[in-house]
Amino acid sequence: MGYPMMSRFLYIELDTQDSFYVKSSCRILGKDYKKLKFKIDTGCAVSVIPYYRLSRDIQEAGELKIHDIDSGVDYRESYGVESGGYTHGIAASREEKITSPALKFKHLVTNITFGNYQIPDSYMHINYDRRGNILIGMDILKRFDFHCGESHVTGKYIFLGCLKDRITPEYLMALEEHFGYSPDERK
Amino acid sequence: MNRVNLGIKDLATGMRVDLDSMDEIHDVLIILGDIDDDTNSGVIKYIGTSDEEAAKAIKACNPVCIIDNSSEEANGVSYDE
Repeated sequence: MGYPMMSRFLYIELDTQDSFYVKSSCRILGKDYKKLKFKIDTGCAVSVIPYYRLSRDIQEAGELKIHDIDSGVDYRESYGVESGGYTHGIAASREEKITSPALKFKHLVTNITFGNYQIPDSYMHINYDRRGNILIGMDILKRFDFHCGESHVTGKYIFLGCLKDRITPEYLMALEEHFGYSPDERK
Repeated sequence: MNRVNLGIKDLATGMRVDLDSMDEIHDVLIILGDIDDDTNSGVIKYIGTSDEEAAKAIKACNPVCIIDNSSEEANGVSYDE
């Protein structure tokens, strides 16, 4: 068995808990990860990685957060499902930023593959306080042409996608095969 | 590497295992290093439920594969994201 061949499009099956997860590889903060579970979330505007999913080291997470704050790393302030309906005031001072769980810091993620489908280097946001899923949101998904529906081949509910700037013949064939989209309809 | 049906009692640190087979092992956190892309396999560096011990194993591996079937989601509780 040789090196896994790269896929020409992204194919994901809905799991038993009605979620689209894709096992992904990437390089983040100088470390390489294999088979990290990324969850496709069209309701999420900004892709986010809880640092807990990369490390399990709570102390290290706190130290890295302080480092990002003190280094002026770009960040966004947003509430996740873990906020439980509570909102936070906008963090202005250094101390407020350190204690706010709503900050997520922008970092470049490289060597990304979703399954065996290669994705260009992309900025994603790291949250050092939360423990939820790694979410792929619309900031990345909007670069895709993607379709969801019941496959005519497998009967399963699937996600088919391809980066818009590199639509492959194999993706177009898969759309036809799984969803019955004819080439003429796509013109 | 061929996938085999393994249970948690079959596993120990130091074993090389098929990465996808580890999805079937529930209620534990498995950290794998020495990843071989050709065989889709890795060596178990930690298996258990301790975040602290898992963190040490993660720190020592690059690349690293983290199989987390100890989370709430793995046991049926979902985040409404």
